[in-house]
Amino acid sequence: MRSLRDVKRSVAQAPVHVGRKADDAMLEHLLRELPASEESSTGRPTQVRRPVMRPMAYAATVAIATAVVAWLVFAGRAPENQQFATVAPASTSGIALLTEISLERAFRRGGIEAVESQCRKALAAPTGKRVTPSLEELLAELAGNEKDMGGKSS
Amino acid sequence: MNAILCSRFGNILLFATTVTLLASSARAYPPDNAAVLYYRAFLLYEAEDAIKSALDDYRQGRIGHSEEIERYLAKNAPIINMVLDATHIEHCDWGLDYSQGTEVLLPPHHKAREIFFLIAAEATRQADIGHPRQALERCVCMYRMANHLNERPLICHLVATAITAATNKCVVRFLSEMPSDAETLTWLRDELATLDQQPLSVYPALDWKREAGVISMAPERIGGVVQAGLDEGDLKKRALERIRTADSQFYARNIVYWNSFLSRVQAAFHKPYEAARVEIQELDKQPAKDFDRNPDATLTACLAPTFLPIHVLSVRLQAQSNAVRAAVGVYLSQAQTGRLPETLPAGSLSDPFSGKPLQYEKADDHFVLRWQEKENPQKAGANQYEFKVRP
Repeated sequence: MRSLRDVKRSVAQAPVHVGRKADDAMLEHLLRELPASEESSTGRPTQVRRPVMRPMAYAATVAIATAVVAWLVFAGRAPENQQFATVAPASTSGIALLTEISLERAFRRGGIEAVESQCRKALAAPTGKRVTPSLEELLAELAGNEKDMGGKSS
Repeated sequence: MNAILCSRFGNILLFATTVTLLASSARAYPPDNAAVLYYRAFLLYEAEDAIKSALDDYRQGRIGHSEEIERYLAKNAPIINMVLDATHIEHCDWGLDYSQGTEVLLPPHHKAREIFFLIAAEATRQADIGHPRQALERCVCMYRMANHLNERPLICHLVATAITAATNKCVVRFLSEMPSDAETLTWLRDELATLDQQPLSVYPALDWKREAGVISMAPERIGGVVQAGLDEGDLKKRALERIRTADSQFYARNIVYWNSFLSRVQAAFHKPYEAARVEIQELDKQPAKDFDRNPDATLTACLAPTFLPIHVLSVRLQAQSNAVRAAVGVYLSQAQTGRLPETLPAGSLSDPFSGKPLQYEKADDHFVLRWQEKENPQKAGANQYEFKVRP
């Protein structure tokens, strides 16, 4: 089990949030952290010899978290209007390859040929070459639609 | 009574609508926005892999005319004509959403290049069958297409630069092969002068780079921009970490750093070549140097492209274009006097690398125009155009 000192350090290093959501985030972070504390530094699970310590550790943790948040809020240390950036994972969609920033990255890699190649890749049809439907196919499709809409098909 | 009036009014309205539609359909082609035709051509043209290299070889004079090329060009004549029509339309709006900053979606540039190869091959065919004026007309159209493609994003500018540079080579070849013809040369000189009223410039791209960077440095955008713009590595990892814990002051200070950095880059681009080269080289290293000790440089290190190659490409294109214009003057002088001039005609544009006149060397059957670029010495003849002279 991690010592109280470790837990304190963990709390100190947790991202700083303010407001109700931030409190929830802080607790969520702690809840993620706590199960890991049952692992010893050697990686082997440690027997909790005195179960009475466990609720005490939780209580201490929550108390420390609350104290830290309260201190940050009331001591005016938390920056106002803080806006956290949401860092989305890298997009793999074809369209995303056609943005200016993505094409500039391609240009850095291999010049105008790499830009061209990325454009081609972005617009490549997944099922191969597109085929223009014939007039018969279009008529058949329209007839099918008419049926679906409750009309008569010719 | 009311019903009759309503009925008459309805008929009049229907008639007016029909007339309006007919009138509008009568003037529907060509549209008033060239991009409509370019997008149509991009949609309809499917470059066949088997013939792509043949078209390029043919354009560059490595292979001669063939029936296969003839058939291919004939098959794609509607596309060629559509693009040529587009180049004659003054207004061109690609419909780019600039509010997206660096995440603006760009047109499919590979199609523009493929269509350039198609039309350059068609121009070469015109020259081969003895129609140099038509060949040069297609070149002027390609210059116009490049100007249309030169939207504000840097990539658009680079594609336009590539097409203009390739068109310059076509013009050099056609001028070298055509018989002396003062009328065609005068026409070409005037067309080039008209194009020069709106020269292909890198400055709008630099202005946009600055603006786009500021738009992208918003908390809700920057994460995605860094993910898309940087290769995996330490810089990306550390930048994303800083972004995760950033406050509003971080963004404000990063925007100040970005604006100051871009101001210095823009000022450097305006300097004479050698001074600009030295300064831009230093500026390119600056954000990465500052990254470790100054968090304000974080987003500039992520978003700034390497400006030196962009500057070199821009000046090289200027040198090539100036050489083409000077060559037209030399050929025109030859057409009027029967011999090559001893020096470049008065008013010829200079070498932007040195700030001095282009070097001009003449021989019996050719002349050379050379510029003093130091960055491209590996290929012999890379810094010059050689123009043949027909007896």
